[in-house]
Amino acid sequence: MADKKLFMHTWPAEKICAKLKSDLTKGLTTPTARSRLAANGKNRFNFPVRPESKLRRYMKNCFHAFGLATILSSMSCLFLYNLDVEDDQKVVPEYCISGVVLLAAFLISGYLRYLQENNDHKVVGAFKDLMPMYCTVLRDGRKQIIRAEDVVLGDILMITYGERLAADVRIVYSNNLELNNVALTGISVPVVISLEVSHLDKWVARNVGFACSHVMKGHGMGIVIACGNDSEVGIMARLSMGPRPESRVRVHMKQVRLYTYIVGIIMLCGLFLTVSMKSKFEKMWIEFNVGVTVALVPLHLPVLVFFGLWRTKRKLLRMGCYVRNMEAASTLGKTTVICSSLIGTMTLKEWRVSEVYVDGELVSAEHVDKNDLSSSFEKLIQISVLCNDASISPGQRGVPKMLKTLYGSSFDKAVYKFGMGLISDIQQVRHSHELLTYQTYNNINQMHVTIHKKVHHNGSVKHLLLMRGHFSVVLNKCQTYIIDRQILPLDEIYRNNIKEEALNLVRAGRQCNVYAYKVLSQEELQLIAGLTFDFNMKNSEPFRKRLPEFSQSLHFLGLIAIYDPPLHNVNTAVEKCRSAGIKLVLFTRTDVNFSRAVAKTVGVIGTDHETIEDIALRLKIPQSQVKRSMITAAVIDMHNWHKKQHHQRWDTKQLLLTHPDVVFAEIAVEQRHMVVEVCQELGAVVTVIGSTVHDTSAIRQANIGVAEGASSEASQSCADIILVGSNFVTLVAAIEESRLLYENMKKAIAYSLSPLTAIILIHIAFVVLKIPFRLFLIVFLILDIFVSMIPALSLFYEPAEENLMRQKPKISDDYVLNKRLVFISFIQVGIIEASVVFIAYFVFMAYNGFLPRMLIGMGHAWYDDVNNDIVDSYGQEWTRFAREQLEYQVSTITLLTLIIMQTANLILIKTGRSCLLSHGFKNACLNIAVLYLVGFGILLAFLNIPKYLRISSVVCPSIFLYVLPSLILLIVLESARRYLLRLFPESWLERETYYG
Amino acid sequence: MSKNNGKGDQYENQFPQPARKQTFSEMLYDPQDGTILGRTPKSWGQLFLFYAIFYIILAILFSICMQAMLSTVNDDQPKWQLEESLIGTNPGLGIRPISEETERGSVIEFDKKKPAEIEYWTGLIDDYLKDYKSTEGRKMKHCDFNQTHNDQDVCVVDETQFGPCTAANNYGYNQGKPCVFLKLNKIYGWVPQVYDAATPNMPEDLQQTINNSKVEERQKIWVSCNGHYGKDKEQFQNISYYPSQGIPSYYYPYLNQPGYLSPLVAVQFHDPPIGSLMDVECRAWAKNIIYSGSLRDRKGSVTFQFLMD
Repeated sequence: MADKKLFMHTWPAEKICAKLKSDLTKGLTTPTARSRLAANGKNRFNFPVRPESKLRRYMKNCFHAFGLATILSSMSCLFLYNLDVEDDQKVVPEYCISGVVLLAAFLISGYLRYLQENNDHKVVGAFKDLMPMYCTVLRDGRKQIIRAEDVVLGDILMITYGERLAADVRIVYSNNLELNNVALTGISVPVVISLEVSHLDKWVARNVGFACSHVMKGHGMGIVIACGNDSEVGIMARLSMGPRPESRVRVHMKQVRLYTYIVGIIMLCGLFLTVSMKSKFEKMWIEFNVGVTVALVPLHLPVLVFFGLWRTKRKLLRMGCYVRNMEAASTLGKTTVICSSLIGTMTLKEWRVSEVYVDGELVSAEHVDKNDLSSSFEKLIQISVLCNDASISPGQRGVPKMLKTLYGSSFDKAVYKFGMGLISDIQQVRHSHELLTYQTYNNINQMHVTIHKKVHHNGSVKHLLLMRGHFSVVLNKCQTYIIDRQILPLDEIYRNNIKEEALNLVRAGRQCNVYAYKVLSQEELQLIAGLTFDFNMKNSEPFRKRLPEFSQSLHFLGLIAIYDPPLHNVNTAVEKCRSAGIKLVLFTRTDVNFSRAVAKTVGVIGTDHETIEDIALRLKIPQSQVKRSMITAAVIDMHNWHKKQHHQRWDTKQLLLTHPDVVFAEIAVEQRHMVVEVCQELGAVVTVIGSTVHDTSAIRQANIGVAEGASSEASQSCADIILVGSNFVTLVAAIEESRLLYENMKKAIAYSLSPLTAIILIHIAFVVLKIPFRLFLIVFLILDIFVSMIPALSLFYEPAEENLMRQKPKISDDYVLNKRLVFISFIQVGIIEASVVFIAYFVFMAYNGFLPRMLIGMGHAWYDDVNNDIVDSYGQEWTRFAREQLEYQVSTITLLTLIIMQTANLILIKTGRSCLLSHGFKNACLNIAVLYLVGFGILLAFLNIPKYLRISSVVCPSIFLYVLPSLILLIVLESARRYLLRLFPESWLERETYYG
Repeated sequence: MSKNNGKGDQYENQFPQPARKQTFSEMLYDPQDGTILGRTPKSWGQLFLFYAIFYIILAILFSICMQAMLSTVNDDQPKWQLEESLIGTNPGLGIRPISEETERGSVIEFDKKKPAEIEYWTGLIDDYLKDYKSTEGRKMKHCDFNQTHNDQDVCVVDETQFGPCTAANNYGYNQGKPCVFLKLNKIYGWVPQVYDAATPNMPEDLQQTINNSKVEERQKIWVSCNGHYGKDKEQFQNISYYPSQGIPSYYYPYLNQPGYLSPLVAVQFHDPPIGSLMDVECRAWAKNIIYSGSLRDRKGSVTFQFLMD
């Protein structure tokens, strides 16, 4: 049944009517329509997934990752504040601030994750918007305007100019009907409807109107042959609604999922424990619990990730690459396969004349001398601009001649442009050769014919028939050829010579057209005049029909070849892909020879690679004798693959595995989707570049979907990235940028995680060693935001330290928080920082009178509000108030030491391997961040800060002498590590400590 | 194309593959690679060696820093004193007895008819006064205002001077006339600037006491106790101070002298109200003791509560 439906458009209209129980003059009866509507459902796209509401998605993102732990911490803080309010008249807002900051962190993290998440509900909207609201149908013999969603199979749809079609229809009556599928294909070329059955493929056959396409011209009538989900757009929409592969950021989030659960459990257990203890120090223990949680939860991580994505997005936008789905900015760097279209993304899409064949020789267009043209060359050029649809588009006064935009087909435009360079006034030529009637070029007859009337100076009138077209078509109509003003009979040898020449040009990726002409005889002229009512342009149809009669025994004049030059730098970009370990898979709709030629010019098939055809040609053996081992590149004609799906998959798999790059020519919609799927099955991360609704499913299936600049709404709305200039080079540059993001992301995270070890150790020391050393929650939040997070942002501005496009994609090691990074930042740099914090603490306390041995085991007494006489090592007795002052200063000193260490760390972390001095300090943002850290430290040390922030100004430079040795250790150790990494690449050290 | 089904084959143009996902048991021990928790024993060994060396270096550095710090601090006097140190120049006032059970705060709660409760508080005071009783082997001097005072001298705090507030008398607790002891926090090198004349903001009884004492005996840090809040003030009219309503200045400065004991003032409340919680505030008076009665940063005074049944 499915197959029958697929080819329903090839049936005669009566058969369709009979099948669908409809009538061409009366339409369906209302009861039939109603019962069909009930049976088949409404004519609209039913999507399996209902888009989630915004709020739901937001809440989901809020509770993602560390959300639960954060919100519990926030609640604990607000609870503490509430306790304070109940206890005391004078309340310090400390806990309130912490609670609000944590709550904000919870909400903002969720919001940032929500923002960067791909919202694909727009795709649904894009498809839904394609459908019209109302349409006119024939029912019960009357015209009725009904809602488009009530259209059923077999309805007779009345189509008029200006409408959009509500379903797939087989056109049964057409009056000048022209449809535009721009919404589906993104290509704004109207399709002239003809009623003949011309092709098995719905998209090529011109008797089918697709749902959602615009009616540009005329009116007509059609039988609905598919509606709703069964229509072509519906099928695409359904294919496009499948679940998308997870983005890299989400994968990274998943990697730490276990850890987030552990943190959540620790938080909950701690909360139960502290609340159930009911000790006098309950408040302190709750704060301690929150402190531990906050230390274990990298609160700033969502901000770092978002900022990195945002910055890369901005950078890519400047390059001409709009990132719709922010997370794709990160995923892009992981690409291992790019499935791209060949024409458009790799070539200029601006055709130029490359060669001219005239007078029996092939002349390169570059070598044409304007002042030294043979007469036949001149004639050819003249004919080429006459037998040409191109014209200068209006409204370009003042634009330099060669820069003017043109209307017309690509071939016509290229030839016209070429003619502009050689003929001073084309309008004059066209004027003197009045156009009487014409037949435009189309793919069926493959020729363009015009008839001109030329009036000589002496008043004699000559009528010319000019023709351009495919060489095989035109050459067969030629009987003579012109060489050096002589007319010679065209013999078989010469004809074959020209054909050979043309074939060679086609093999080299050219499009070539042959030009021929003849002077019309009087009888012929009269016949044509009679057919067209004296060359009335409106009545050219009879002439077109009888064209073959007149277009015989022409003079062959010459051949013009055009080509689409590759994009500037596209070879370098392809080279980059190769060195970056990215496989190129090209899709084209054009034929094999042409795609092979273009693939070669753009470098996809390298100079040392050969396809089976190349080898056959070189060794002059049939293709079947070519050894498989010699083939290094493949250009596959997908059109001829009339095989079962799973055979196709199998073959594709083999092709992908055995060839570095594969070009799939004449590829169909489902085949694109299939190739992408096969790539993913083989473990690839696929980037697909597409532009039409046809590509939507492939774009959705891909890990990163890229839509070309001027492409259909549907494909843009499901793409992750939109290439504004449709330029492949930009995409490769974007991949490099994305890889840089990954490198810098790791650096930023390594930087911001380093102080956490110190915080965790302080908490452990508080419990195990019972030393009166704790970081107030608010101080910790200050540290987290102002010392860890803000300077880390500057690392995203760091330039790459080595050529990222020489690395293989990091597929097997795709962990932002990899083992090495955790080792380095937690138990190497982190431990050094922690040791400095403890040294500074002990020195400060000793100077104030508490020697270390006194502090260890002090325990709770220190925090007892009633105990106003804690004895120090010198017998001095400290009141609670004095002890609090001491604690505040300890906080400040802890902050200051961490700031000093982190400043050094920030500068060191700029490079993962290369020498800091040779890497340079060009990153202005990072330099500012260093100044900011220094300034922040000075501010802390001298400014009078409100007491509830739990820090107070402290001036004791002597303490910082003790920071120095560890600072030097950090610098020496980290520099030495980088030096050794450079000295012994791929050594044990690299395996264990190089996280870049 | 090859006939085998391609599984496990290595192709030249294979895509880079993601790391194989390990099961939990493989994560613990993978017999194929011989890895325990993702590493081979050799790799673990190397890692431990690397970090062992690193931590040893760090530990050495840490101890060097600590030694350097300890060598710069004196055993006898703190490095930072008075204003330089955070302890400041404003010694806090403390009371005894104070419960060791921190939950009880500074409430002195007892029933004078229950010896067990009385014993709890007297025990605490006994403990505190133990040092004052065993004076053997200490070089101490009986000081008075007429002697010239040497800074290094340690003056005796005579526990016999506390009048009725003695252990034999159960510190008055069994009679409903409880004693508390006031002490000033020790601050290295702190010298009081005493009031040698009454000031108007002093309570009247203290003004009277000052005016009644001899001029040469006015070299004291005066103390006064009273109900903390207005309503409580009337309840504490009858209070006596032993040996006198002040701490003589010859006990200062505290220079970490061996055998130095904080001077004490015993305060006896003769008729505290029964059955209700009373806030008492005791305050020390000297020109360089700044007073702040606010709850969170109390200076120059101490508060405690009586709850007598």
